[in-house]
Amino acid sequence: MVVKKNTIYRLLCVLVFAVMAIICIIYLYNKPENPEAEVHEARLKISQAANITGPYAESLLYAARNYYDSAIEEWVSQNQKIILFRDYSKIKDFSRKATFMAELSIGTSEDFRKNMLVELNANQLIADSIAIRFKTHFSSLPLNEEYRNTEFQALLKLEEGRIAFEKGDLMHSKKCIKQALDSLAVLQESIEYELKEYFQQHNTWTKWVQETIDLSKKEKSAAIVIDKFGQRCHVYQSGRLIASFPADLGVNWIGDKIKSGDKTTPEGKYKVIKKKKGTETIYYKALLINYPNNDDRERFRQFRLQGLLHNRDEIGANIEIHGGGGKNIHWTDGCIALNNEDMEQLYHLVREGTPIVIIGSLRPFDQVFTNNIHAHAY
Amino acid sequence: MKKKILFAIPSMMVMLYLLAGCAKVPQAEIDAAVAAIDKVKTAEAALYVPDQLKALEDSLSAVKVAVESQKSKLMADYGQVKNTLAWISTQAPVVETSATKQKEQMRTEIESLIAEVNALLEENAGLMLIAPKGKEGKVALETIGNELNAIKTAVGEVQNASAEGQLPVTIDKIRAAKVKAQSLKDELNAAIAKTKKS
Repeated sequence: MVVKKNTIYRLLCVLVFAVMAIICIIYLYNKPENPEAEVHEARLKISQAANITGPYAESLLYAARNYYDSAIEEWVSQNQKIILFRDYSKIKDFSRKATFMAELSIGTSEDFRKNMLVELNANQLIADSIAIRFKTHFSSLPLNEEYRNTEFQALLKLEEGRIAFEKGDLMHSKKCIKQALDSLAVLQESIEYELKEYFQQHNTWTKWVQETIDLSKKEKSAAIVIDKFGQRCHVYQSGRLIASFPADLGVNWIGDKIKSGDKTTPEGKYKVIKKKKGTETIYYKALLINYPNNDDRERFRQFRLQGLLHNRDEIGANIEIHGGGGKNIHWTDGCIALNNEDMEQLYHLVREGTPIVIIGSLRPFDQVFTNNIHAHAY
Repeated sequence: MKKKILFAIPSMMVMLYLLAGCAKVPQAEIDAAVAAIDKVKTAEAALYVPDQLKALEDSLSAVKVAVESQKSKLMADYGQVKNTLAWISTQAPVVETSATKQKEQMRTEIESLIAEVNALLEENAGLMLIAPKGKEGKVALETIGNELNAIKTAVGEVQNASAEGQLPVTIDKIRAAKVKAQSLKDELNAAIAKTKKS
């Protein structure tokens, strides 16, 4: 009985030993290589990419993270199996792909960042040029409050973009600069559309000017041409230009005068009806013109008939070329103001009856507004 | 005796394997570390101390790799994993405090900038009163008045956004408003100086 017990014990031990040995042999023979190195490399690359990439190559980084997560999930899944049946090949494959995508994301984002810096620098220059253009071309225009507010908001956004750029927050900078550029472009389009409408009268203006110069030539007399966009008062004698003075106009100087108080300088063919000096004027010397003329009265009547004017609206009067100007801004209630020295000269060059033509511009639209800002790209 | 030793060896091997296989993943510590990082995220660390938060997240990520790596071995050893988890749990509150502090600093800076812009707006309002009026000044003053109103609106927007916690973006806006308010002040001062000269 004792022998039998010992034999069973021995057999059992041998069996356990044999099983263990077989397991060890199989394990050592099929031992799956731990994927730690590959996963570790992928993790480090993704971490590095996250530092550099930020928002510049998000989709690539996203893909890298997806591969990495798949690798980890696969690893967890394999580790749940019996050690002899584990297969880490997919984990390594996913990890290598994750590493590749992360490296690609780093490379792409570095390129993207460089390009973005160039693009943002360019956009800032474009934005600056637009701001300058607005200042040179549009600052003297009598824009409505809404336009001015849009312009200022855009400039404020531009400044915000500049600050974000200096801080290195390129994405926010890009967003701000783009918003500013978009606003300014839309604003410029609206302004230019209105101006182009206005400049459709250019042929009429040219005709009026020619007729006035021809008359001056024919009658060997003086004639005055007021060029609103040129901000000049030109004086002709016998059809020849003999003097040209800078002129200040009405606050709302673009367009034709419609009614009293609109602060617009009228447009049309007029003549000097009175020369004023001394106590007759508070602006040094003045030339009163025959506003409203028949055309003005007819237009006023039509506007009233169309209900565009209130009954209490009046057509206005007392439009003059007077002194007290030379301020280089448009400030009058509709008159044309020259500096006193120029006014003195003009006063002596003309007489009562001298023709005056007031027009929007001597030059056509394209010459007044040359560079177009629509060409910018971002 | 020899026979007993001979038989004991495989038994001990089996025991050792079982013991090693039974080394437990420190799940409680991992859960605690995840919870600690979540708490740090709630404190908006991603906005205010992104690098510190990233260090914590990287460590947790390394822990996950190490855990799986140990599971892949015949004899798992979670000693290093436990050390890293302990570091995360100790560091997380520090990062949380740092985020809160950073946020407060930024809020204080924004409030200070708002106060500066408001002071500039007040100064500008005062300058508007003594700026040259006349017909020619009136137009310019109206424009400046509108621009000052736009800055006031921007300040209001900054205050609202700041109250909603959008501090990092808000700070650029208030800085831009300050630059513009200052330039309007310079413009007004220049106009006043010009009048005094003439």
